[in-house]
Amino acid sequence: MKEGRYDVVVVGAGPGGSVTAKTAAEHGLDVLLIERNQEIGVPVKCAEGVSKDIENFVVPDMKWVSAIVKGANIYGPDGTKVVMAGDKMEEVGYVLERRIFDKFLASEAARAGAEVRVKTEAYGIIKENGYAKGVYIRSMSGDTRIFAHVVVGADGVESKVGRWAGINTRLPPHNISVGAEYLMCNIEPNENFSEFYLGSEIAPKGYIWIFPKGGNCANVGIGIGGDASGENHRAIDYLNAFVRNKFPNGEIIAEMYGAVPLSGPQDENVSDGLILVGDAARQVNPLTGGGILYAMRAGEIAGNVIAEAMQEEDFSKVKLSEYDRRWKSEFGKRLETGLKAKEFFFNLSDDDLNALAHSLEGIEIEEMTPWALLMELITQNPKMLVELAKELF
Amino acid sequence: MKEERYDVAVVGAGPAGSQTAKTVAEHGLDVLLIERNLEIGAPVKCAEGVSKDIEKFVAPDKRWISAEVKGANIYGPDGTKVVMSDDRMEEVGYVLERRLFDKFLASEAARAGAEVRVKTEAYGIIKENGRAKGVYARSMGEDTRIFAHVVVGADGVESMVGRWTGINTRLPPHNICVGAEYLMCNIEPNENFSEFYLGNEIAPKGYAWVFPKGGDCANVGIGIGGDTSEEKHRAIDYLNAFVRDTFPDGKIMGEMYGAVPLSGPQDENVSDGLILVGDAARQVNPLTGGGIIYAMQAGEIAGDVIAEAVQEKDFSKLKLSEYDRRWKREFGKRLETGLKAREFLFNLSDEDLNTLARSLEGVKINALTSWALLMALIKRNPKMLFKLAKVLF
Repeated sequence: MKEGRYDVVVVGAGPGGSVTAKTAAEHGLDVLLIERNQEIGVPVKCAEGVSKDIENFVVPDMKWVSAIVKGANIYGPDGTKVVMAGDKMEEVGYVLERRIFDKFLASEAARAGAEVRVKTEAYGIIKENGYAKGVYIRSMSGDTRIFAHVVVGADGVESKVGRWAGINTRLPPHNISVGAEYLMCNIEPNENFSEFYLGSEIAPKGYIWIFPKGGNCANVGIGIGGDASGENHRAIDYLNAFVRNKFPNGEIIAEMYGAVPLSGPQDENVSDGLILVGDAARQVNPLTGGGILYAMRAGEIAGNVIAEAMQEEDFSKVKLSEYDRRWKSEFGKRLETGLKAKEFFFNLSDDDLNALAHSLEGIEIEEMTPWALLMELITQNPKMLVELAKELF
Repeated sequence: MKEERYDVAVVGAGPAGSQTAKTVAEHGLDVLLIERNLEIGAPVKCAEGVSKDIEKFVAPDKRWISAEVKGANIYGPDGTKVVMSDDRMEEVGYVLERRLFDKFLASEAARAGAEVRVKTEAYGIIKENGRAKGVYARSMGEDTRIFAHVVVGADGVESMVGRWTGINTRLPPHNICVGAEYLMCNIEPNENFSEFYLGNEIAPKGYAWVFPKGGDCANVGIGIGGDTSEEKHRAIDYLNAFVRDTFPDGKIMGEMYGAVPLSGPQDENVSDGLILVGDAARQVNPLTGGGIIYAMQAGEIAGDVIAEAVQEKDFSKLKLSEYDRRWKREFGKRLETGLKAREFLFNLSDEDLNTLARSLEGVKINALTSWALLMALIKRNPKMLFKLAKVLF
């Protein structure tokens, strides 16, 4: 079998993998970034919404921004509308074009010196004395043994790379959101607002989203609790029912499917010679299902920790667990909070959800974060949400 | 089996199919546009370059334009460079982002009233008394009989829809260009110039292209004559060799494969109840391999002719052959000329190609069209190109 040798091999060229590869390459390391699909960024499995915080990582470019978001409308089961928008109607987020954005991030990794290979799949891990020492990969040119000091698993929900290394990345159904999404056109979406629809009949243990994609198009999608999915009650069935009602004249230009980990952070996302980033490490806010920015930040941290490990020639789990410490100190708490809020909200009855939505009707929530929404809800419904408040503070 | 009824069923949602569907819908007809892929616009099988003439059909939008082209460099086998550019360095063309452009065109069809369905494949034609009366379509495992007055085959090179109705859409290898293309980054492409590389060792009976895609990325592709392709001499082998030499540090973000009909126009692209458009009708300039704009123009003509046929309730081949007459009047001659030029130029030795390239070294060719290039060549090489001149004029 052919052999290759790098400092770092990154499996998966989504935002988590590309930013890890870029950061490690900027530290002067030899990095190989592999992607099993023929094309980075396709197929999309994502609602594509991110907050303005993305500007902490990259300068927004209209080539990979489909729409600028200035606020959100949230609809309760009975249709009660809650508006979140800043007074000045400034942008608070973006809807990305992941087909282009992911390619851009990978090209930034390449520019920093990383080697990139598409249509290349990792199918096993090389281990020595319990250490991950690389991966077996398969591509058009045959099988290759890739040796690396550190293997990065950026291979998404229920990471295989993690499992090969002995980390339990499987998720029970109630900790997964299963999603279906249409890129719909010939609708007239609110061009600068994201919209969310709640209700156990609309999307059990989840929600429906409408994210503007520019022109007369939007991502119309749904995520439901994995434990709520069943024959004739799959995400796509709920989505079809919603779309039939809401957009009878809408046309579907693309279909997308995916799953998102909603368990909140797990303790260990490293082992000897191995680091997990992004969905593979469950770096997703369980309340919103959003994870792009967490994946990018985790990628930076992973790249930095790997560079330090290289310098000290120490690739042990103990050394690499510095990664877990750092990302958790930055945003672990937010994921924990999101998990508690999710467990509270997604188990409310429609009556309760309606009561909550009514309590916010006409109130302007000026900051478009789940945190601001929670605070306002607790302020307006102290009794009903006393349990949640206790959990959160 | 489920049954549905439309005025027109269009198979394939590339530029030809979407433009046909849009035009027909604008005439007030009931149209169904089906696409077998999960997503319109992916996978891309195209170099994505078009001339400024695209502005006759759509207003250019940064969202689906990767780069503006202001000129072209053509390299002979020995590296001699021929420059084609407008004196004022105005834009002469665009490199598209087909992943978004094709979605935009389909959304325009939807806006005009067409129904659009992805992941829906036509697998047979409904015939009555020798007339096409619709198609059998399969979607998510479910079969549907779709009746229509006119079936439009916009299903690409060697159209299946055409074959089902008895039109011979098969092409002998020498009339096909087989292509492979990489979206490469970490290269420094000439950001407003398309580049072409000629030579029998680089691309037998074809050429290699480098089309800027914005930033440090470009489409780097190769098309070779189908009759030259063989084991270890496939398009991808030539492309790999070219890329190794020209862009040793380039990184591949996407791989694309495709084939283009280079036969020039065939006589009949209609039959009773059926019209072929785009690559299915071989509406491609055999010299350049470009066909997007022809496909769009043919789509408009097809839509108009179908509307007339519906008005007269005459869907016979005789009536629909008005389509063939009109598109051939508009651009049939150009395809014929392209074919003659191709047959002459692509059979030249490298020595002859070098001679031609040198004859244009330092000469400014002000119009970026294959016609302007031919004129300049004939003017400077009257003897050598005497035969070509005779077939062209």
